[in-house]
Amino acid sequence: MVVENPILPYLQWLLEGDSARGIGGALYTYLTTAGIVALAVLVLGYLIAAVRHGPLAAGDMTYRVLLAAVRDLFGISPRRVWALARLAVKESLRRRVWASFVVFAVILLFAGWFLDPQSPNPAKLYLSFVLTWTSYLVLLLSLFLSTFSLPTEIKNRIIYTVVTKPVRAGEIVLGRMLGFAIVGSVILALMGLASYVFVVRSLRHSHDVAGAVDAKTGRGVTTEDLDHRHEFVVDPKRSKEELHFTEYASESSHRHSMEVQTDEQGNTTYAIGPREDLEVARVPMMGVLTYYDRDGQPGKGISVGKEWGYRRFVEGNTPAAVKWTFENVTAERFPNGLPVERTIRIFRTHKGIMDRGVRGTMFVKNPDTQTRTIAFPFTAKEFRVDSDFLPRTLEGSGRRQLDLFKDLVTPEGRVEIWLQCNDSGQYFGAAQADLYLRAADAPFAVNFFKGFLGIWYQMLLVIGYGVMLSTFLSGPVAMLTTLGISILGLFSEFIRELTSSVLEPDIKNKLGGGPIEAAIRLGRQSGVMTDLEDSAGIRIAQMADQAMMVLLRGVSRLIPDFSQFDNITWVASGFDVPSDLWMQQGTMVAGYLLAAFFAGFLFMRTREVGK
Amino acid sequence: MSENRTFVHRVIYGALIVALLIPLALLSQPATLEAPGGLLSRMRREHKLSQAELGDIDPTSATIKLATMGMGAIAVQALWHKADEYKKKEDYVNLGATLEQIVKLQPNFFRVWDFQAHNLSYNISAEFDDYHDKYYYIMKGIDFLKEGQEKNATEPRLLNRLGWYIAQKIGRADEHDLFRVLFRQDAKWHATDRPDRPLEARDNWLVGKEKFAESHTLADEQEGKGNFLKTSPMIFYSEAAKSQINYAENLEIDGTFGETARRAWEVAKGDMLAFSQRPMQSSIRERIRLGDYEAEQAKAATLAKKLEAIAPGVKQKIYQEKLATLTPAQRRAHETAADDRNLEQRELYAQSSYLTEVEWDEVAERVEPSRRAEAKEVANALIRAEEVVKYIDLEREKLNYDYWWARCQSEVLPDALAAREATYKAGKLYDQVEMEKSVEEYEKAWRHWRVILDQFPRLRSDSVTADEMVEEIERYKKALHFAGKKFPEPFILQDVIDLSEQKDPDLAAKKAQEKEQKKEAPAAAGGGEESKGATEGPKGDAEKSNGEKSGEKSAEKSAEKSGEKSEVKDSGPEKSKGEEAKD
Repeated sequence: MVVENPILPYLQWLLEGDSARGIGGALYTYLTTAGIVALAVLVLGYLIAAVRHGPLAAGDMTYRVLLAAVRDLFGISPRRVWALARLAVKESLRRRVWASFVVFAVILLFAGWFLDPQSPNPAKLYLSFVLTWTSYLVLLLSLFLSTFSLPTEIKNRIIYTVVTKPVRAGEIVLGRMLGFAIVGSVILALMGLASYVFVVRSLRHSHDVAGAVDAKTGRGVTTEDLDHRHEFVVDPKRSKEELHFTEYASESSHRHSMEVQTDEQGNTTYAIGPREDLEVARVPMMGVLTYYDRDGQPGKGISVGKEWGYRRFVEGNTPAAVKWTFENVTAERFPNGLPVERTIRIFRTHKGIMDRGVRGTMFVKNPDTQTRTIAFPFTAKEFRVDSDFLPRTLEGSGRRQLDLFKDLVTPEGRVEIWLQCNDSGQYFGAAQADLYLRAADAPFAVNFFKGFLGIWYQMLLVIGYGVMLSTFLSGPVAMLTTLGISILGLFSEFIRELTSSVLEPDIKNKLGGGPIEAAIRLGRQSGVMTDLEDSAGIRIAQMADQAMMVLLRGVSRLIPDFSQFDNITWVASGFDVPSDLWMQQGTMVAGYLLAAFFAGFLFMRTREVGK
Repeated sequence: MSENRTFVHRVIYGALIVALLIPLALLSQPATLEAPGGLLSRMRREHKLSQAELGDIDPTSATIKLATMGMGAIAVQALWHKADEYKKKEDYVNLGATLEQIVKLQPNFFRVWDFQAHNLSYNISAEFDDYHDKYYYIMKGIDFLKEGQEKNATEPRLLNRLGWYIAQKIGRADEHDLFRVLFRQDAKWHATDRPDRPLEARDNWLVGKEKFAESHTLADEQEGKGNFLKTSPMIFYSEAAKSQINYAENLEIDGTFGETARRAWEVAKGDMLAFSQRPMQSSIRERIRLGDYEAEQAKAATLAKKLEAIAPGVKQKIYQEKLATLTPAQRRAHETAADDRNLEQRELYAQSSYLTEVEWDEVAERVEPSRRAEAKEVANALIRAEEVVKYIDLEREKLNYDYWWARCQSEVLPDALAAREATYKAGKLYDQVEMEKSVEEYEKAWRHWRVILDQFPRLRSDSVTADEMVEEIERYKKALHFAGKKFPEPFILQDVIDLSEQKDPDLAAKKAQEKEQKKEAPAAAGGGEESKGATEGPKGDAEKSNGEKSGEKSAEKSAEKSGEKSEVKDSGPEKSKGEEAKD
C-alpha cells in the first residue's frame, strides 16, 4: 500500500496542519478562504450597486440584503426543507433515475468478459472496475438530476406552485440538495450491494487436493480453480498448514488455510478452506521511518535513479539500515506479540544469485536502553506482503531471553524495528508505509462501505455544485459547468503540477511551460528540457502563461480535489480506510457543501422567484 | 399567417436535409458483391482500412470508439498519461487495465502494441527481483503482442516482434537459463499458442523461429498485395535463420552434442542458404540476393578482363594522366606504398584519392570508335556488377553474414563438434577441480580447433568466436597452473590470442607494458636516470602506459579514476604517442 502523504490525525489536520509540508490547519484555511471570497463578493456587489445607484444607496442596499439573508437563513424550517426534499425525490423518480441502476446491472452482467481473473491482483482489478463504474454512473446521474431540475421548473413556471407558498430561497436550495442526495444515496447503496456480491462471488474460491501428497516430502498440489493452482508442503507435525501461491504473479500472494487430519487407520484427509486474503481489511499501525547511511549515521537513504522518489534505498552489507519507530505499543494491544508485515523493494547493482532473493535481517530495539534482539534473517519479497510474527519472548545477544514488553518496548510504548540488507552490492528500498504492525482486522463489508463512502462524497459535491449553479444558469450551461468543475477536480493534481511548473519553475518539474510556450515549442519541435532563447517575444509569452496559471491556480483552489476522495486503493489493497481519512474527507465535503449552499442561496435570492 | 410561415420553414428545412443526405448517401453507399459501393467504401478498400481487412473484428473496441463520440483522441491522451503515471508509481495492475483500454481505442496502431509490449516485457519485468515475476511480465508482453497480432492480421512486424521477444528476451536476458526452463515448462502458454507443439520444440529459440517464419510468410503475402514492409528486409528476413543458429549454439552450451547438435547446425546451414537465396530489397538499390556475391564478383572480374582486352593499357594511361594533375606532395603520397606512408601522406592520399579514380565508362570513351559501342556495353555491365557486389557486401557486413555462414559451414564438421564437446568437458572438469583431466580435454579441443580455424580463417578474426576461445584459453592457463604445468610455447592457437590482443587496446597496452617492464627492469637495477620515470610507482606507470599505448580515451579513463585527468591529458608527448599507437 502506497501512502505518499502521511494521514494526519483528524484534530491535527483540522486545527494545526502539517508544518513539515507547509500545510496549515484545515479549519483556518477554510475560514480564511471563505472569508476572502465572501468579502470579495460583498465588495463586488457593493461596487456594482454603487455604480448603478450611488455609494450611499449601495451601502444601504448591501446592508438590507445581508440582513434579509441572515433573517432568511435563521428562519429555515426543517419541516419545509423535508417537504421540498420529498418533492425532489418524487421528481427524480418521475424522471426514471432507476434506469442508471439497470445500466449498472447490465455492465456487471457482462463484466466477466473483460476482467481477467489471472491478473496479478484480481481483487484490485475487480474492485477498481466496480468502483470506477459506480462512480461514473452515480456522478452522471447526480449531474443531470441536480442541474436540470431547477432551471426546468423555472422555465415551465412550475416553481410558482412552490414559491407562492411561504418558503424561503434557502429552503428551496437545501430541499433540492437533500432530495437529490437521498435519491443518489439509495441508488449508490444498491450499486454497492450488487458490487459486493459481484466481487466476492467472482473471486471467492477453494480448491481440493489433486492426486496424492508425496509421503516423503509432503509436497502436493491443488486442483485448478479460477485459473490457478497452488503447491503446498504438509508438515506432519502441524495440523494446519498454509498453502503458498505458485502462479508467478506479484501482488497476488493469496493463501488458503488447510486442515490435515489423520484418522486411526492412518488415512490422511485434507480440507482446503476458502481464500484467506480476499476479504481482508488490515488496520495497520504505522511507525516513523528513519534511514541510516553506510556510515551508520541517520541520513536520507539513497536514490537509485527511479523517477518516483517515494522509496529511498539502503546499501547491503554496510551499517546502512531502515528504522521504524512505533508508539503506543502496549501489551494490552498486542497480547501475544507483534504481527509485522512488510513490503521491501530490491535494487541489484550486480546479478548476484538470480534464483534466490536478496537477504536481509530484522531486529527489534529498545530506543531508551538500546537493548536489542539478535538479527532475524529473511529473504526479501517484492510487491507482496511478507508477514512475520515477533512473539513475547525473543532472543537477545548471548542467548539471553528478552521479554518484548519489559525489555524492548519503553514504558511509554515506543519500540524500534530495524531492517538491513545483508548482500553486498544490493540495496533495500523502503518507504514509511512499507512496514507496519497489523494491529487488527476490520470487517471487510464495512471497509467496502468505506470505499463507497468516497463515491458518496463525490456525489454530494456534484449535487451541491449542480444545484448551486442551476440557481442562476440554464440547465445545459449548469450541467456543462458542473461537468467542467468535476473534470477539473479529477485532474487537480495535474493542474497543481502544471501551475507550479510555470509559476515555480524548477529542473524537476519541467513540463514545457504554459499553453503559449507549449504551442511555441510544438511549432519549433523543441523538447521540454531545452531552454528557449531570452527574447522579448518569449518573455511576453511566458508572462501571459504565468497570468493564466495564476488564474487557473485560483480557480482550482476553489474546486474540490476529487482525487482526495479515492478510497478504492485502500480497499483494493486490503487495508482498512483509516477513520482519520474518511472523517477528513467528510469535513471537506461539508465545507464545500456549506459554501455551495450559501452561494446557491444568495443566487436564488437575486432571482425574481426567490424573493 | 404565422402557421403558414412555420410550415414553409419546415418544408425548407426538410428539403435541405434531404438535399444534404443525397450526396452523403452516395458517398457512403456500402459495397455489395456486384457493386463497388460509394466513394468512402472504395477508398476504404483501396487503402485496406476496413476492419475485416486489418484483423479480427472487435465489437467492444468499435463500441468504445463510437461511445467517445469523436473525443477518442483526447481519451487516448488521458489514458497514455495515466499509463505513464501507473508505470512510474509501480502500479502494474492498473497499468495492465489501462493498456487494455488504450488498445480498445487504438486497436490498429502498430506503435501502441509495440511500445507497450516492450514496456511490459523489458521495462516492467526488470523492476522485479524474483525471476518468476520477471518471467510473468515478459510473457504478459508476449501475450499483448499476440493480441495485437490477432487484431492486426496484416502486420508482419508484430509477428516479428513476437518472435524477437520469445527468442531474444527469453534467450538473452541475464536470467536466460532460468527463463528458458520456465518457458519450456509453461504448458499453459504452449497449449494456447500451439497445442500440437511437441515437448522438444518448446525451446524459446525454436518457438521464436516459428514466429519469425510466420512473419516472413505474412510479409511475402502482404507484399503480393502491395503492402510493403516498413522495416529493413535484410534484418527482418534473417531472424529465422539466426534463431536456428542460436538454438544450435545453445544446445551445445547446455551440453548436447553429437548427432542432435549436428542436425541442428545442418538445419541452420540450410536456413542460412535459403536466406542467402532470397531476393530482398537492399537499403540502397533494388532487390539483391546475399548469396550472389561470389558470382557477381566473378562476373565483374571477367568483364574487367574483357574491357582490358578491348582497350589494353587505357586504364593505366588515364590513371597516369590523373596522377600528373596532382600536387607533388599528393603524388608522392600516391607513389609511396600504403604501409610506408606517414601520417601526413595518409591524409593527403585520403583527400586526393578520388581525383585519380578511373571510371570504367572513361575507359570505354577512349576506345577507338569502331569498338566503342561494344566497350560501353561491357563497361556498363561491369559498373552494374561492381555496384551489386558493393551493395551485397554492404548488406552482408551489416548482418555479419560471412561469419555466420562460416559458422554454419564449420559447425557441422566432425572436428568442430569434437572441439565443442571437448571444450565443454574441459570446462566442467575445471569446475570440478579435475585440473589434469581438464588440461587434457582442453588440449584435445585446441587440436580440433586448429583444423577448423585453418579451414575457416573468418572465424578466427571474429570477436564472437575469438572472445569465447580466449576466455577458454585463460581457463586453460589456470588449469595448467594448478596442475603444475607450464603454458606450451609455441601455443597451437597463438594466432587467436594475438588477434584478440590487437583488437583489444587495453589488453595490448597491458601486454606491451609487461614487455616494457621486462626490458627496463635490468636498466632500472643499473640505476640509469631514464629508467626512474618508468619505475616510479605502479599507479603512475599504469597511467602513462595506458595513455601511450591505447590512445587518449584509455588515458582519460585511467586518469579519471586516479583523479589526475588534466595532468595526463595535457602531457603532450604521451598524447601524440598514443595517437600514433592508435593509428
